[in-house]
Amino acid sequence: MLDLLYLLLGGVLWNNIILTQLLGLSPFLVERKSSMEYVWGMGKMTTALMTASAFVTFLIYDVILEPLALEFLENIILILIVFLLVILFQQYKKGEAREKRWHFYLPDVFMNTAVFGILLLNMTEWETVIEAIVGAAGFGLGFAVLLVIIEAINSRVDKLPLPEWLRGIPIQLITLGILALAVSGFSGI
Amino acid sequence: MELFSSEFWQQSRIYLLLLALAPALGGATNFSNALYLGLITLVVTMAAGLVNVALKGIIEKEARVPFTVIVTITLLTMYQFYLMIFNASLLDELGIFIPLAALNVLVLRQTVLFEVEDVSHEFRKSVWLGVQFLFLLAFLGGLREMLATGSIMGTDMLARNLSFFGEPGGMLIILGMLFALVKAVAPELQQDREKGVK
Repeated sequence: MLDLLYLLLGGVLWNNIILTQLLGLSPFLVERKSSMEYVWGMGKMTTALMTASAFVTFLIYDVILEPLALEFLENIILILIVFLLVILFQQYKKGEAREKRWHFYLPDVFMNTAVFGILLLNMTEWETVIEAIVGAAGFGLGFAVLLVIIEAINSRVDKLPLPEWLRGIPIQLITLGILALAVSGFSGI
Repeated sequence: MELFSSEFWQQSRIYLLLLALAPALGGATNFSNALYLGLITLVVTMAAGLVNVALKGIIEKEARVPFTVIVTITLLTMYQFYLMIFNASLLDELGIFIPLAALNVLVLRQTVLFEVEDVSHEFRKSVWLGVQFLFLLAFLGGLREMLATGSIMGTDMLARNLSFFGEPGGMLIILGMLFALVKAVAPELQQDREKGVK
């Protein structure tokens, strides 16, 4: 139980996929009008996608690829599963009134290298299905929390008397860098 | 099955180049790694473009994104096997960043080849973007190596080094500072965004 908690918290803090591996940076590298609601929606969707894809790929890896010695197909299978899940999410959300906004997340979520990255990094590390689900959920939460933190900091930075050339992406990246430095302090635990 | 709307590809060059950095930034720890990653991305961008042009009438429009991704990731997996035999140390250093190049926005942009009439113009534009990306990534990798170790590929450049820049946080700060500098020197690059690449 404690191991699982360690795995979950690790994904949020000291193993945060964005701040330690620089994966899934795409939402921070582009400038767009965003709101807390949008950011939280994207964080939730990414967490759900990571958890679902970790569950499915772990089963496929364990039941099909490993017993049949087909590990060399790992990359292709993993990326196909992520793609299929993104499409499934899209179909599932089609009936809802918020379809248009949801639709807007999808390219971002599919191109988010963190989803594919955690699968590549951890497919052989995770030992049980529960570990895979909890570990992936931890990484997803870490991503969502970071999105929310950056959005909250941005809304305050906007009110500061900054020079025009520092506004937008530059100050966002520098803030992220300082956060990465702060998080690296946790790795000693 | 419309994952990328056609407006998505009307973004400016700066926007696409920054998005293209996302899957490669973590692997660009020094000049040579950055150069390798940039070259790999350029080659798979060209290969995906050529395959897409060749099979334009055969592949259904709905399948264009998974098709492009599968072609690219197959090539990258083959390259991984090549490295496994001939250059294992490079494979260790680049690690997961080789397969991640399949999700690069420059590769995914090749899906527009299924839609446009003027294929050669689009293809040349993608290759040009790939070359710019190669220079940008190599520059960032070189800068990071220089600041973190004080030398580039064994040639001493600085009297003292700041190992902080070798950390992921250092890379983010370098990129942020560089972007601020670009914005300060050439503010008109921002307006490029409204006009789009075309």
